[in-house]
Amino acid sequence: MHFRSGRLPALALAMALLAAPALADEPLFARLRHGLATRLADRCITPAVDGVFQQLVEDGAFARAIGAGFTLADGNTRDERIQLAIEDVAGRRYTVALAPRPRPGQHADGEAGAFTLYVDRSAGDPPPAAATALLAAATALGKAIPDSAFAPCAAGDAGTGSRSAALANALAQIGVVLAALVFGVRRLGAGRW
Amino acid sequence: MKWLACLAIFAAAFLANRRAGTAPLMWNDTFNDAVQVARCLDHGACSLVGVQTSIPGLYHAVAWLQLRTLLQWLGADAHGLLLFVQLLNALAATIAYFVATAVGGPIAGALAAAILVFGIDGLGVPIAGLNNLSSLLFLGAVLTLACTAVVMAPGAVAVVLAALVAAVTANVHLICALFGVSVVCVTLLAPRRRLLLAALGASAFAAAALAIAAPSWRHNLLAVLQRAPIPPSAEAVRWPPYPIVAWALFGVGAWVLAQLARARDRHAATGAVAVIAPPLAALLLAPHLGVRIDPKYLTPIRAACAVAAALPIGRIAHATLEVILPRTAFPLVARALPFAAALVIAWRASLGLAHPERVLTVDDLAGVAQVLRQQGWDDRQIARGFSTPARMTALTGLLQQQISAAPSAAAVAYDSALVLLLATDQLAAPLPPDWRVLRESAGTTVLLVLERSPLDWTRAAVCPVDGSACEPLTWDGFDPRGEGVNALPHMPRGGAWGGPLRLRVPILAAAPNRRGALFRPRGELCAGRIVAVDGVAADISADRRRVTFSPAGDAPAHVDVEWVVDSPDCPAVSYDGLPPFVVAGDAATVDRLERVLRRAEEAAAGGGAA
Repeated sequence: MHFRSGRLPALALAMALLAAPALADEPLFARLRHGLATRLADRCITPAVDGVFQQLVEDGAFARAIGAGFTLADGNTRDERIQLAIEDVAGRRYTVALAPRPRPGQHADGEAGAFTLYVDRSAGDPPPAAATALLAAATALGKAIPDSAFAPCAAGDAGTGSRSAALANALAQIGVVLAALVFGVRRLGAGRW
Repeated sequence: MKWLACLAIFAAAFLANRRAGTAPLMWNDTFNDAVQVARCLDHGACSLVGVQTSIPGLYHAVAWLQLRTLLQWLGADAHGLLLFVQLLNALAATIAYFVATAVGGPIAGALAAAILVFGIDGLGVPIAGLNNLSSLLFLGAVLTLACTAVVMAPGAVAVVLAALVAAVTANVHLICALFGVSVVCVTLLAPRRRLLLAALGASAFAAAALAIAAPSWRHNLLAVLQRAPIPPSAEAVRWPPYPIVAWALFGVGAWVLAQLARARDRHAATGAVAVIAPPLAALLLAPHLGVRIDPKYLTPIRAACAVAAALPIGRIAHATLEVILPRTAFPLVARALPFAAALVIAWRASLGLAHPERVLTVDDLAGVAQVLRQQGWDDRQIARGFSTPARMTALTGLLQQQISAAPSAAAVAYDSALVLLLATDQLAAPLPPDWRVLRESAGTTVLLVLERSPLDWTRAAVCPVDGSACEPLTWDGFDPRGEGVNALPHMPRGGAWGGPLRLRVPILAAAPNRRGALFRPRGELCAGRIVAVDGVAADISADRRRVTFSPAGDAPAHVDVEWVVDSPDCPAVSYDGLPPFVVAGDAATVDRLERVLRRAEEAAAGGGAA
């Protein structure tokens, strides 16, 4: 979980708004609330991305970006990222993902518009020519997608953490409660017994 | 002597808890939590957001799930978890006694323990249940202790510890986010360094809450920001008639009077009042904001209410006893009172004895699983053939039982298993061989009835009451353990749906001398009526609750049963997305069960009238 630094003031203001629900329903505050939600939420891609993709295919923009020796094989949106695949003349397929949010701990291969690019290396590093073509296609698509094709993500699944983190968290919380218990008993133990 | 009294209160409260149940009750929350914990322990995929609250879109944080995960990682099973919770509950009574004694003397202490156990009911939270409410009594007591420590000796350490406990509690249950306000309140009410300590407490609370469960809080904040404004509630605004509200108002009122009178010990209840005030204010204000707050949300302030109410009563009792008792006897009586309270708690406290008598326990489900596995039933057969009131929850718990008994050589080809809770004195011995007693306790018998059903539920269909085409039920792939499974495919979702529901159930061909029957009980169930029987000779009772039919031949035969979900006969919460509970079987079996169930209904109606 990470907070962008710009989110903290928004978080504080949002909490203040929550404390005054009557005010928060006024039109002005409702707009403010929506703006805050937009800032706080991660950005998710919408079906408008499909329209941009189709337009680029029809305009021949992908073909120009990829160059000779490769063809666009596939383009789809899955699990909150766009995936593009190209094929060489021998039918070998190479894939790149356009992620709207950087993936912590994973090497990025570039940026295009609002996206971070990740070349699929599960079957080994692609040849340099294929990598270049892949990134060119991804850059063409990433730069063509307007801001209007994004929307605040719904308050959905926040993902999962590791077992050791959960166990450590539980231990820490038990420690806090025990410390408060011992401290309180010692402080009050000197009272009117 | 003082620690001996603490020990006595603890032992008494623990005994009372154990008397309320030694096996966890069958509870949806318990089983859902178990799925999350298993996913965390077995696959390392630990949810960063807790379970959903009763307000759609809002989620609890993960502290309870993490605690359960830790205990299960250490080897605790469901019984171990319940034992742990019961120890915490006993500690809560002890802490209430300790705090009240420390600031108000032993008479107030004894009263606090007694009020907690006898004066405030369980607020609908089963004492032998396991969910995120289970630890709140204890955590609320610790917070009361921590806040009282802040008042008695204000300082950075005391404030930070109180704030951390509040944060942990808030991460167990969303309503406890209000304890952040409690920490600020108690620092503002402290005798000195108010603003500095308030800022410190607020910062520590927010930092700790976010550090423990940032995804949950961010999720909830977004959900609130994105949701439509809640219209004001149409319900009449009224003060909830719960005893805890009376105790809370009494405690807070006495504290206000003490402040106005500038009484010498006016700060004694400040810590408890700071814990009480925010959730109590929320409860009283919520209807104005269109939100209905369940009394169970006041669980974390139970100990604080007991302390706040016991202090003024204790003062009066103290003054009275001083007057009426000889000077030498008073100290003895004051010191003996906690032990007397402990004795009464140990012998008389009833912390929810009624629950195991109305609800199946995890042990009951384990017993059912053992028998059904011996019969050779697999998960698919259990999902289709097992039935009981609250069937979806029971099925979820039943299928979680890791029991793999070898099929018995003498297994009979049963295809229906009914589990009923019946009054023991209404079950005349001897029982038929197909009836198994799973538990007998406090006048209740948990009975498993194995049957060869005359009905074919696997080919049942949902038929609109307007006469349009029926849609067959689909059992393939149905697994109640799956996330978000709240109905059989093609049946309306359970929990909140309302409307007429008609099922058409084929009658199976049977031996010529075997007459089948169907009876639908009343009570805390979704009760319907038998509409019609086609294709076979049948006798429907005048109240349309029972039908006896002749064996079906080669021609198709079926019985139509109708329920009106979300009506007085079938509250919406009693419909769980599965065919509502009916007793179906051989006519002789149904006859006998019907007699028992009707007697129970009459007894309940008589009790209600009284």
